[in-house]
Amino acid sequence: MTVSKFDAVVWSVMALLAGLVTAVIFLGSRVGLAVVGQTPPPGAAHVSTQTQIRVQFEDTLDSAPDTAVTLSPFISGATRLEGDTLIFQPAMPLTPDTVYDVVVNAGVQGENGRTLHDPLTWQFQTGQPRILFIKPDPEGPDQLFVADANGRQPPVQLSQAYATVLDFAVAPDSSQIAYTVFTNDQQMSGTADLWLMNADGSNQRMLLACPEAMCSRPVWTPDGRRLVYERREILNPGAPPGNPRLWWLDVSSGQTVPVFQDSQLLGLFAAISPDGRWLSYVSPTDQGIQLYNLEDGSGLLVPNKMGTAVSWHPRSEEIALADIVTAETDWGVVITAVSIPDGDVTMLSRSEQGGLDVDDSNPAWSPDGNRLAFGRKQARSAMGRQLWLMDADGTAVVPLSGDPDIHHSAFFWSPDGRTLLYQRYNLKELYAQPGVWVIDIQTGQTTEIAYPATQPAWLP
Amino acid sequence: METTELEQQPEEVAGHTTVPAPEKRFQNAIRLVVGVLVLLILISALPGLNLRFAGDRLQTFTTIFLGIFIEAVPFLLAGSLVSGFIAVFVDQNTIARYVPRRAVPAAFTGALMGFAFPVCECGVVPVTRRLYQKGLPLPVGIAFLLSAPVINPVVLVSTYAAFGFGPVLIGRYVLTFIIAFLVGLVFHFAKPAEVLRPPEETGIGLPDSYHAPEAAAKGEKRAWTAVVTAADDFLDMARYLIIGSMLAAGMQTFVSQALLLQFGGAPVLSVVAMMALAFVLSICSTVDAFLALSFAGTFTTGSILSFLVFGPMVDIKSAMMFLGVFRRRIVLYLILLPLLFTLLFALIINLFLT
Repeated sequence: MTVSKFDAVVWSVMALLAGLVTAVIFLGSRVGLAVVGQTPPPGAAHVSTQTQIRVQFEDTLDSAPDTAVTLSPFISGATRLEGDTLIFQPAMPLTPDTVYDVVVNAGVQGENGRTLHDPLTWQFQTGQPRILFIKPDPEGPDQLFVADANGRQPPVQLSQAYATVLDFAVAPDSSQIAYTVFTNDQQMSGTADLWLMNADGSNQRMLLACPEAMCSRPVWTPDGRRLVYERREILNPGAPPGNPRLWWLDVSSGQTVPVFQDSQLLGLFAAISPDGRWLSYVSPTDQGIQLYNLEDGSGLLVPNKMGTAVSWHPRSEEIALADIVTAETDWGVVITAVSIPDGDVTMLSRSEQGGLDVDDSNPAWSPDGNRLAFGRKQARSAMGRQLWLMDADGTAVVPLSGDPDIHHSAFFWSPDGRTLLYQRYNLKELYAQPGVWVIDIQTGQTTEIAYPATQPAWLP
Repeated sequence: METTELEQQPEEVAGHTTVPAPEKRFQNAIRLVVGVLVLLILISALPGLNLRFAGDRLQTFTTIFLGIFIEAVPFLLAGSLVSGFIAVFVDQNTIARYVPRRAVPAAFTGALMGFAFPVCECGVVPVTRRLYQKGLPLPVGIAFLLSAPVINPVVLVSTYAAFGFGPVLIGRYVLTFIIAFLVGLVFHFAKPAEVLRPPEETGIGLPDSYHAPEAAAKGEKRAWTAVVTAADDFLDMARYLIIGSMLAAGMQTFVSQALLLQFGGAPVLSVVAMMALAFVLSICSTVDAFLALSFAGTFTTGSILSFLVFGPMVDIKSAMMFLGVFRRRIVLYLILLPLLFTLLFALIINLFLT
């Protein structure tokens, strides 16, 4: 067979193309997975101690090594992939005022086969947790404020709501705040909408309009994707809100659906376990606390006569709640712990004499789960409730405050477990309003953060 | 200026009359394909020669074959009609006057000729064959052959309907044009005699009864002659379509496509898999965008484009139909050149641009 000039040209072109294909494959294999952005950004300061480490890549991710993200100083955590983003969730809050080195190790692989060839490193610095609260304002609507935990700087207004802010909830990574705002200034209609803002007060926008209902008490799921909230229908303008029912709200899409198919099921004071597996709520119908397993749909009813919110153990092992306990000649309100999922109940708090003549409330687990803060007063007395501490097994019960004229409530541990945030109210003062305070657990030193102020919460 | 062989002997080619078609060769080919298929069906029924299973396979094969063949026949018929009318109504002087002969303009023109002759990959073969008979320069015909199945209004609309205006639509048209243009340029170095099958083998021509000067006086007679010529072209090319459709159906029946589909996210293998799929499926270019859309979520952009660019240029049935126009060696070139160009561009897209 003779080779013509044309054949030579064709084979030359094909050889050239084959070479180019080989070169492209070789060079292409050296092109790594490109990073689009990091959170917290490199060099960021005053970063929340609750922050997640997020790295967005150019492609949808396929896999990542178990040790894809490491922090220095070391802190353990879990890594997961969400679309094109690698997320590291620290198991514990970060240490305040600390410089962290982040290393995203090589080996993260995209769906297109590209991998991160070289480790990605950057630094950020955490700040001190701050304190959020609602500040009543007789001249205008109540607004959401933020203040430093040392109480030295005047509070800064965050929300710019046209009507009163009712309540709020900080996202698990502290990046956003969901809050409830009355629909109009007069508050006559009783309807309330859900709003969302960034933690620095920027980008305030309505998350869910509820023109015929009061939507309030939002609670975040641990992954920060959804909220569960209470919805009370208002059948006629000006009529009182109806019974509360729990609804889900998808934060990104705004889609909202009832938690339960049965529209007659009532629920309030919802809380979600830190591991995201359980939804607890007060069920007036069942006269107790219902625990609903979000993974398998199973349920657990904890009989409870008080009907107040529960506090979840940081490891989702148990809940603490206040309940009325009666004996033959005595009765009181004590703190009990209920193990999950067994439902075994342990009475934790008793009076110093071992009796039931106490009225305990507002239990709050410490971040390490070893202690509980709670409010206590003598049963059937008019004194102010005091702040107490006890170990998780109900021992080592000690008071942190001792002024019967002051009522203490709404206890929140700081992320490092050294400080308690609470609300106090002077019973002796005629026109007193609530204020927000902190107490150093080691020294007992108290600091006023804001007055008047209600509903305190940490912005870690 | 160098002239092609066709230009030097136009009368010889144009004046050629019908030559008996190589029926025996066609019958042998059919026998071979059918024999291989029967063998495959029986082997696939092993162990134990499960005849019911073999029957199922045969039914699957028949269904796929009919699907491909029935889908392609109308387009082949349309192409044959165009071919018949070109044979009668287009003279060589017109082509010589309007079609450029220098390499770059020729390949450029050929790559855009689909908008003048909107045909898919089945119809484009008889049209190209007829245009070559009328003296069309090689680069123009090759570029037209490869680009027309995509660069035409019908496929433009169907691709837009499936993917909207975006990277897939733009990429499909740009890559098809570039590849057709480059392959057309390569064929500028060829002589028609070493590329095209001689007329006595293909049987292409006008009916014996047709005499141009006399027919020219009677328009009615010319139209009838065009239809008769189209029928001859149709029957001639349909043989190759039948064999190609049988091969494609056989491949789809006996080669697991799930094997190809598992490489969706791999930048290199996804391209290879989608090109193989396009070659095997032999789906018409007017509807292939809708099939590609179903892969869009799981396959890489480069691989989707390779499916949409390479498939219309070359698949099993069109490769068989090429045998009715080109020498076997050239058919191999017409498969390998678009394959390598498409592979190169799709890999660049996957590895560097997305």
